[in-house]
Amino acid sequence: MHLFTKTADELATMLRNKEVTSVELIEAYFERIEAVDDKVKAYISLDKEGALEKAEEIDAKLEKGEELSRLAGIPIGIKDNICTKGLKTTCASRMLEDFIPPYSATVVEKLEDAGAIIIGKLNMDEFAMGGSTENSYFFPSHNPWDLERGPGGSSGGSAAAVAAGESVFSIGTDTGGSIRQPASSCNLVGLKPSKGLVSNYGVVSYASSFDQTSPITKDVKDMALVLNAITGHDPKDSTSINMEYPDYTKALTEDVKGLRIALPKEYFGEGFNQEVKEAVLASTKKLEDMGAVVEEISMPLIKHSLPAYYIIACAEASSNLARLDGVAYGHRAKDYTDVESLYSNSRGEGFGAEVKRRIILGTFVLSAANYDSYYKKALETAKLIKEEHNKVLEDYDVIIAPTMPTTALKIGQKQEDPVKDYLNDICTINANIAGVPAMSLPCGFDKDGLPIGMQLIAGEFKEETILRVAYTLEQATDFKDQRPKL
Amino acid sequence: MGLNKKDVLKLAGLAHLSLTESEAEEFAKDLDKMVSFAEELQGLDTSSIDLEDRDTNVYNVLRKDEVKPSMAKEELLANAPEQKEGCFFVPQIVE
Repeated sequence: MHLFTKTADELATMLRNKEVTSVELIEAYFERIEAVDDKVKAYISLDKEGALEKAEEIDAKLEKGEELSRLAGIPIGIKDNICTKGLKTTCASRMLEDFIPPYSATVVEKLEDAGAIIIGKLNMDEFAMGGSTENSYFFPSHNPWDLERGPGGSSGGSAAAVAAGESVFSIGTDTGGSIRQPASSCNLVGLKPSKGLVSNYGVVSYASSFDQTSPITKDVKDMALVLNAITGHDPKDSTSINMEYPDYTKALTEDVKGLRIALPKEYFGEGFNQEVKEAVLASTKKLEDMGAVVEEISMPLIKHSLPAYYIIACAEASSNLARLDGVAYGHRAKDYTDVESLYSNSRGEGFGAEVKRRIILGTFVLSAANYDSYYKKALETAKLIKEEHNKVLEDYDVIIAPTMPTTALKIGQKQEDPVKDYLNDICTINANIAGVPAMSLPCGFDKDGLPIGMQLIAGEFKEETILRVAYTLEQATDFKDQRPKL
Repeated sequence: MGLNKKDVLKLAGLAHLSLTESEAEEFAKDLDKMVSFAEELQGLDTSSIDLEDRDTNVYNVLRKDEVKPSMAKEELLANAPEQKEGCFFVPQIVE
């Protein structure tokens, strides 16, 4: 019996049937981490003592027969850009190498209220900028399906840990695909909810218009359980949506009859790996066989989304990261003569190359001479893209696309040219621009045994549609049951 | 666009970001590529878009101004690289 291959829902049943205690579960997960994390490198920091303390509390409650959330007693990791009170939160940056938050993010509080147990903080690309975790100040993470490859990014540690059985599920962030890409690379389910569905309070900002706190799970049922725990209005986040939140587990039904699916041809053209395209289309065909209606469409604005995304994201990053100046917290250079050089030297030493690159591009597009021709133009383009998505999603229930143009890349295989690296985001950024929910769902393996993910994109707040389609597809396939041999 | 090292150093100065010579050279090449890539948007007709015309579901979020407990000073200072007499400590700013 391998505890580390099980889903949160399966473990919740075992906890209630007294087949295992939460303390035993925590011990088993730390044993697993000890056995494999040397190879996977998913975690930046661990908190065994704190985890065991909380597990004892959960066990006592279970013993008393208290009714608890399905997530109670479940060991999880949290991406290291999400504040955890008293537990180091580095953003995988030298800038915040020693930063211990004085408060927890709302998503962390909500998970802790549900009884989930945070066992550690997960590796990522520095400040969530990148798609491989190779931009981490500390070390790159490795893909449990092939240790020579990366787990995707920026929430690469969040995906690698779940795939390797070092975390039952995990929380990360998605600004341009940072949850969905690693989920796709590691045969996991990653859902970026609608903008504002999960509070971003206490999550270190990168590009606020697009940032969305998001979960990675082993299957669709766990995704619904986690959504139930972490969604909801948060007065501390003014972009958080105040609405009636559904019970997402009610969406777990097998029914796609009459479902209208759009396949934009722009996602299946040149530059997309053939095996990826075939796997996504094969799953789409399954949905069609079960009664869905599939139509090929065109979304011509998709080709403009990358420059628009990078202009806006970098502009916002240059503004958001201005708070890191070596004064109140974070890295302070030893060498400075006045307050100006204190800022510049602390930031010059504290940030890695990709972060600097994006701050400089952001500063460029926001400077007076370039504002209209770049920044304003990008905002207008983004609005056009949003309108195009809204229109398609009025006519169709879901858009299907690959999550990535390829499967996981070898570590070190990153392109010399940063622009070519950005092309990997082409399938995922549009959901962030449009603010709509998008899930990456396992849909096959390539000839090297590397996982392939497909995306299900729906209209704003239509997470239930995505869950229903994903659940239906998941029941018809066995991809979710595949685990890497590690 | 033709961005050079001098442009990069000027932008880095605006962003309070010290760069080494080799970083400035490398970024000049990268930025030039990134900016040329972004120029592709210039050909797109966006004249139908009015950025002032906000989505209908975007509204001001207001709350009552209530007195609530705040974090203790010690907690807020705990991550400061340098502190003195209960304050963040920086080099002299005003002569």
